[in-house]
Formats: sequence, structure tokens, C-alpha cells
Amino acid sequence: MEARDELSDGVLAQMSIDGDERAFAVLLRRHAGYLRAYAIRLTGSRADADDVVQAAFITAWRRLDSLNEPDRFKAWMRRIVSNRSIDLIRSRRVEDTPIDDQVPSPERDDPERRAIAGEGLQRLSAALEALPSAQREVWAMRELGGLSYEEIAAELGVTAAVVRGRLARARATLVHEVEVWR
Amino acid sequence: MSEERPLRDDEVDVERISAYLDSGRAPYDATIEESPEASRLMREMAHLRDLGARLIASEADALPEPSQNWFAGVLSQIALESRSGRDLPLDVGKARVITEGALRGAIRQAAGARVPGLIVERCVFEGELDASDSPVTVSLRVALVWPTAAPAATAALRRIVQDTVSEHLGRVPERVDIRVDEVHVGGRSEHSREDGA
Repeated sequence: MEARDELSDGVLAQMSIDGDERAFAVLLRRHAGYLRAYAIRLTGSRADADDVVQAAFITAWRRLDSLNEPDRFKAWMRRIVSNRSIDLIRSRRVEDTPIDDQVPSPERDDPERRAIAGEGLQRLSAALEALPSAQREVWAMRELGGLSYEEIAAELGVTAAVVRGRLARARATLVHEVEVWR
Repeated sequence: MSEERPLRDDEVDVERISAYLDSGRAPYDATIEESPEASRLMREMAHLRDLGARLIASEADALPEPSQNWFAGVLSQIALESRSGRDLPLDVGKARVITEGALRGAIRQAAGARVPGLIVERCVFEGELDASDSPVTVSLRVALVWPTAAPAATAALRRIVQDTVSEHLGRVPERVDIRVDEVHVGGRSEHSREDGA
């Protein structure tokens, strides 16, 4: 373990802006797991998520000068991963039209899915997979990615009012599904 | 199913409750907070949010590490696109240039070797660096590892910056500004590492 492992995101991001590749490598290792899990939830595919997150980190390196709040590196990365994931989903839809409310194949036999601890989490996981994709994307970007309505609207090319409506529908369904089994 | 169809009355409520939760429950909305039904739904939505955070954390933990090739794919690409900054003329008489990045690297390396407990976060050169007679200012942001004493560490860094710049550019910097950003205590920083979500 090198000394950089001990540093906060803010310090490592500053060092990265200054061109320190090893500092950036620590950020990559620190956040890869969460960002991959997030991208899997958005894209429904581990292979796609790995590609998305890899490309997102390369994009981040190129755009470090625009990182105004280095302490918020993780939030900044979530935004880039969201953007790349949505691009990928859109390109997939163009290739495979017509797809209405496409649900990504749930990788139910995936060991990591089986390893999810706790019934509540399993119920939420199943309910998410059953949601219409437009609602699931909005819910994931808001609740897993922490994006604002405006940021989600910008990613999807819709109005904030549409985001608000989809999110409410997703929440109402998920509350119902998770509660039904409680 | 169309997303943009008109909302039913009960859905209007759901949407209002959902947006109210995202507003941080401010300003206070008595019609939601004081309705048993509405406030229950809001609590369920908040519970869902906690569940979502736990879900993603648990999935991230359970996810196998990506291959070394995956990491190498990123790191080799960023190495190719190194952020080396402007070219700077070397000291008079040497027919080569040094990049800003290399000069920063030289300062970092010397600081790392000679000032334990001090980490250079940013090192920015200001001024007409490519004009050999123009004044140069160096601004640094550093973090200190407890219990490193700030005055001694920053004085040592200042000397290193002056020596390194004058060695490479043949000019002593007019000013060296050092800002101490952060103090790390036993590997933990007093700045929060997380951003909350």
C-alpha cells in the first residue's frame, strides 16, 4: 500500500489535475467497484458496465480541468458514468428497434445477485428489474447516482417535469412491491 | 405505456410527495406532513432510498475485481495522454525545453524525498514562463500528515521550489505561495472522503 492510498479524494483529485497519474490510479481503484455496480444497474449488463466505467475514467482524466470541486470527485464521476450509460442504452435501442419499455436481461443466476444480503434488498432488486426501463433509469440516477432532476433531465433530453413524474411512478411501484412482501 | 399521459388525482399526490421528499421536506408542507397516509408514503419512499444505497453498496462489495487488464486499459491510456502542460525553455545555453509537468514532477520528487509528512496537491506556475526575464510565481497547495509542523515543512518546501526552479529555468521565482489545505490524522483526513450520497 502506498502513501497515496491514505489521501482523501479531494487531495488525490488535485494531484491528478496536476498530472499525477499514480494519484488518479488510486481514485480509479477506490471508486471502480461502486461505479461498476451503478453502471450495471443502469445498463443491465456487467460487460457493458465495465466498458462504460473504463471509458468514463479516461474521459475524466481528459476533463480534469473542469472539475471545480475536487472534493466531489465521486459525484462528478457518477455524472460521467450516468452520461456514458445513457448513451450506450440509447445506441442499443437504435440497433434493436422497436423496443418499448425494454427490461435488460436480469442476471438472476449471477453469484453477486445471489449474494445480496437481506430480503429487503432482494425484493428491491427484483422490483427494479420489473420496472419499465424509462422509470428504472430515472430512479437509479436519482437514488443510486444522486443526480438532481435537472441533471437527469439533461441526460435524457426530457424536461424536469417528466423526470419528476417518472420518478414518482417508479417510487410508488417500488414502495408497493417492497411492502407487499414485508 | 405512455409516460406523458395526464396524471390521475392520486398520482398527482404521489408526485407531489415524491418531489417534497427530494426538496429535503422544505418548506414544510402540512398537507403532507400531517396526513397519516401521505406521510406514511413519504417515509416508505425515504426507506426505499436507504434500501437503494444499501443495495448498491452490497452489489459493489460482491462484484469480483475487474481483471488487471481492465485497470491497465485505463492507466495505459492516461499515460499516453499525460497532462504535461506548457513547454518551458531551459536555462540559457541548454538547447532543450522542459515541460511544466516535468518541472512540477521535479518539485514533487524533491519534496517527497526531503519533506516527510507533506504532500504537494497542486503546483501552478504563473507568469510568462517562456520569457526568460519575466518574473515567475509558484503557487502550491499542500496537505500535511499529522503531526508534521506546518512552519518547518512549508519553509523546507519553499527552499526546494526556489532551488528547483532556479536550477531548471535559471531564474529565482519572485514569489512562492503555499497554502496548507488539509491535515491528515493517522491516515484519515479531516476533510470528508465521501460526498454524502
